[in-house]
Amino acid sequence: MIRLAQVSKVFNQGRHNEVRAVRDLSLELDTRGITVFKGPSGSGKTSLLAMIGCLSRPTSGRIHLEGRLISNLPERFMTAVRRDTFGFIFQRFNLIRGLTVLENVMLPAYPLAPAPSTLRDRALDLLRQFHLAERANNQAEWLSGGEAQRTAICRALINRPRILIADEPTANLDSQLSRELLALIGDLADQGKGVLISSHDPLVFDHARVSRVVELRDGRLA
Amino acid sequence: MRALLRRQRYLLDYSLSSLARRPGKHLALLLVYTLIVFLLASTLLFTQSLRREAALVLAESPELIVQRLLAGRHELMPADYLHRLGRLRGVSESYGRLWGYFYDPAVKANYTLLVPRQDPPAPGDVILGTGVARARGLGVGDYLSLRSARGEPFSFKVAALLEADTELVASDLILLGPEDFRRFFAFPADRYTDIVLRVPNPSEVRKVAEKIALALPDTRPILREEILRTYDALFGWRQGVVIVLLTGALLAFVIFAFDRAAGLSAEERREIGILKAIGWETGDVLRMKFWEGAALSLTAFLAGYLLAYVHVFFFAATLFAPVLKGWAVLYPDFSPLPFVDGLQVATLFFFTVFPYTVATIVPIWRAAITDPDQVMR
Amino acid sequence: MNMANSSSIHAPWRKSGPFLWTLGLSLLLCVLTFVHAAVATRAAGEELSERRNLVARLDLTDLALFTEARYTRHPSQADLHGAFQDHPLALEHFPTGSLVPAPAGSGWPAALEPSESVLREPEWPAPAAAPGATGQGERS
Repeated sequence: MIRLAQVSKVFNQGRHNEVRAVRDLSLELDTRGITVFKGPSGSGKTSLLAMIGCLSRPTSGRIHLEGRLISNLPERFMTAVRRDTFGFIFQRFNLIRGLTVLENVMLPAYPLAPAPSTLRDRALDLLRQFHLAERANNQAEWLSGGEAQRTAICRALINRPRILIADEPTANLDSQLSRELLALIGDLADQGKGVLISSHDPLVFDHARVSRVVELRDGRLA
Repeated sequence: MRALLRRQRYLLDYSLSSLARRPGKHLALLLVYTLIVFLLASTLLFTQSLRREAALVLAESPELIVQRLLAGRHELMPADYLHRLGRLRGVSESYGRLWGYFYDPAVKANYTLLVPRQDPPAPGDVILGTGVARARGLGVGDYLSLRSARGEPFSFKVAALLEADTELVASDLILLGPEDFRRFFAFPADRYTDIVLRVPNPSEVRKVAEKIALALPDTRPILREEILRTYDALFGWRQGVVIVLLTGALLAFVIFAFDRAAGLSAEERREIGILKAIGWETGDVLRMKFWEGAALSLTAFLAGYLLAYVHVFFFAATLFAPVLKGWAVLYPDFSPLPFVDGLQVATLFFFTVFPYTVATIVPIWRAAITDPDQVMR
Repeated sequence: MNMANSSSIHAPWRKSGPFLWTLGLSLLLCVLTFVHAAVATRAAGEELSERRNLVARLDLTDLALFTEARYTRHPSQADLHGAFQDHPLALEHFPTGSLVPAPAGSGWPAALEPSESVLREPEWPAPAAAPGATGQGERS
């Protein structure tokens, strides 16, 4: 259970270019199933996801994860929560160029320092699961869009998070790939992962497996 | 502990991958860095070796040499000064030395002609330092012809050569008998070049020198400790010049590294953002950058130092010979002995590895503390 | 199939492996330079004592490194007032000169100025009339 209470996010506070991305938002989310945040760009979906995923702190308000307050933790603990609880899939994949697919997948685990063979096996298992095994030693920048997206999913899963956060995951994919991606995400939800997606793509929020759609406009619930 | 090491090794993995992404650029960087360390280390090792050698070898020099000065210039020493000096307490032995310089136009070299105190060569014979023998192409039994101070040609028979191992101190020596020396230079019979005093008790040397200064105000005593200090200073100075120059190069290099790290490209910033977003702490990013700088500078240091060691002690510092030779024709053919000062190597290590590493991580700090959510924007 | 994949993935994915090996090897070589230095300097004892003996036998005072001029050949014996030698940074004729400084102190070490204790020592004869004035007086 994720509980948001009067959460606001303001960028460039007090300056002439001040942006109120999220305004006084209160919400309860189930950590199971697929939840989609829907809304036009600038509606505050991404800022909201960033705050839930411990990437940033709310300007005001509180966020509880399973009853634990996570919105005012110091950076170290926020990072720890982020690392252990959330896996991220970004709009532009955000793979690191020059590294192999395998290295990219293992990156989030480096600070946790598991035994190298364990980590490598876990990463290879994931790659196999997502049909990327033969790509393991390729450079990340040589991948096709679909492969890059799947690599990003593997990377998001390497630390075995409970919740996946996907920010506009279909923005750079064609319809066919988008459908494949949603099928994969559906499988993950079936395996018990919670999934939070921000999207303004009807393919996503109209998908059969989506359990809840939250609509946002101007930083408020619409 | 294991986890800590494992984590550092993972970060090192990442740093190396990161370096390998631009192999040309980083190899060039490594090469230049290695070259600077190589030159610095070669200078340090070479001068340190000569300094130690001078200290060890010249420890056998006379305790006290008295030169005569006339109008502030080096003059020949009257023989009767010897009697006036001989009575000093603490002096076990005193004798005049005969030595001088000879410029040989045939090979454009300066020789040092010297009369040994013990067993001087027979009249007409000379003993040559190996440098002289090499320059003139002479061996034992050959004749060495020189034009004397009066313009007459003198022919000396080469009776022997000094041992090759002594070249560092004796390369340009021509040893000859006292009569030959005086005739060749038209050297006045009642004069010496200078006077040597043997003072067995080191604590008495200064006292003796003070007394000489008082008794013979027109002389200048030269203490053995001054000779040693001269060489210490000489190599220190030489070393200093080169090191100051190279430190400039090193500083420029560090500034360059700092500038490069400070001007992070958008791509590098984004990369740091990604790493933080996927669960790296600020500290992990900094440690990763530390390994990047350390890997580069450590490699450069080790390679530079090892190359310098091989250069100086296995190839006799061939690159430095031209600098030391200057205009000299006679240059001793010697290999420096590997006297290595651990503290000096440690200092070199500190001053090459540390500044570069710091210069690369400090500017990263700012990028590393930015919020990770920027990758979502 | 999976086996084939695994073996193709078996390529060294850890760059730190070879790097640490190289680093360790270089460090070992560095330690070996010190061992070599110790061994070689000990082995050179004979060669060194040969030089020492020659220095003692011939009363040598300098290394034969710079044979260009008398003050570079014998820096420790050079004229204090030799031409061009007044300042270590002076531009001058011989290139070596720009690297060789004047002997330390360039004059009388302060400790060698005649002290009162010497003047008072009775056994010491009063200085005879100095044969020829020298520059010494001017310098002190």
